[in-house]
Amino acid sequence: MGVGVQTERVLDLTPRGDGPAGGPSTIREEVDCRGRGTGRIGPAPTLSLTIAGLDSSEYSMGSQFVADLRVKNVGKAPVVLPSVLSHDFGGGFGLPPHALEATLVIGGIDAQGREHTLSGTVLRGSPSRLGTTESLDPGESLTIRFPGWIANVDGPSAPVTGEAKLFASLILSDNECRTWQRVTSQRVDIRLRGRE
Amino acid sequence: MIGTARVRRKGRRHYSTWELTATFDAVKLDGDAPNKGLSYVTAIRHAEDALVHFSYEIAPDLEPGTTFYARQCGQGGFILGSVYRSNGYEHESGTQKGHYQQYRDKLAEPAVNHAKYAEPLWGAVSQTLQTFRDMVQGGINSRRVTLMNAAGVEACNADFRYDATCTPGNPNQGFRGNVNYPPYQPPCQ
Repeated sequence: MGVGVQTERVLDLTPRGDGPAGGPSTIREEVDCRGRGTGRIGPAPTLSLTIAGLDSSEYSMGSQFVADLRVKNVGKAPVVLPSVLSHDFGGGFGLPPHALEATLVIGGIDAQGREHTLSGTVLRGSPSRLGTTESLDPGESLTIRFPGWIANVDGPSAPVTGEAKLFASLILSDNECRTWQRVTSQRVDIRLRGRE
Repeated sequence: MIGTARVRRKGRRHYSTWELTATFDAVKLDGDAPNKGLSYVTAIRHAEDALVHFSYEIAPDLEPGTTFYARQCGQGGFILGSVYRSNGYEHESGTQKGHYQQYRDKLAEPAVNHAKYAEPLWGAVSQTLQTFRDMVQGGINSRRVTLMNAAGVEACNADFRYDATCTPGNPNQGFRGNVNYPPYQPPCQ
């Protein structure tokens, strides 16, 4: 009897050639949705999102982290995901042909029960640009390795120090002014060092 | 400060549309300042930004001067044209149960408001401006979905026969009359 070995597909978002810390940043190209958007949000894509791994169980504001986020197609049709950081996608996002955007957000609920955006990033891609998308067939999964920073927040809106829950969410939108409901992961227990 | 939105009226159908994202500027401080190397959001644009707007459309038939409007005569159980029109405007752009009010209420929440989110953020010296920008953008995009969900709730006055006093589960509360569709019925012929 044969044994099949399925290799884990990994999309590693570790920046390459990000330049010096003080280097220039690319201005993100926006899509002009005046008169094009419906104001309505579409149903969530048929994806599940799981925090498959965190490099620590304790984070503080301003610290770096690496999260492995597993995206699985739980539907019956292929799902295309953008796969390059938005600034690496370059220009032309707002123009045809079709292009996708995925917003990855790391959220947290602090010891006082308040929800915070701890980190995030934006991916873009288009089937017409080679190497900028990943297609997931039904049942297939992809692990996104997201190295990010826990946000530094001044003042009373900062999360408090203590036990916290961390979760991830994924939002898909496109250059035709459509947005779909967010897909949210399970909550993972961490310890968060915020304001005292 | 983000807290208001421009309201525009277009004309053809009943619906509201929102484009609620915000654009922002961020810098990494340079020079001999004590905060050299830290990143901040320096500006965030909303109401004056062409990319962000709240607009709505009302069917032209609901406007005075049309046959349909005139046939809503307020008699025989039919709604009055001006009331039907007013209910439509309230539902889309009103400040009681309107989509616009739902949007404004949600935007006023500090946890959702783009500016209140972005203002206290700062990026460490070792964090690139690009990753700081991407992080902020992720937070803004997330709030955009929250706003869209809040503004998209259909209150009981989504049926324009009802005014803003309507109450779910109470079909008589706020009901102002039936719609007289063609072929028009007496006494509103």
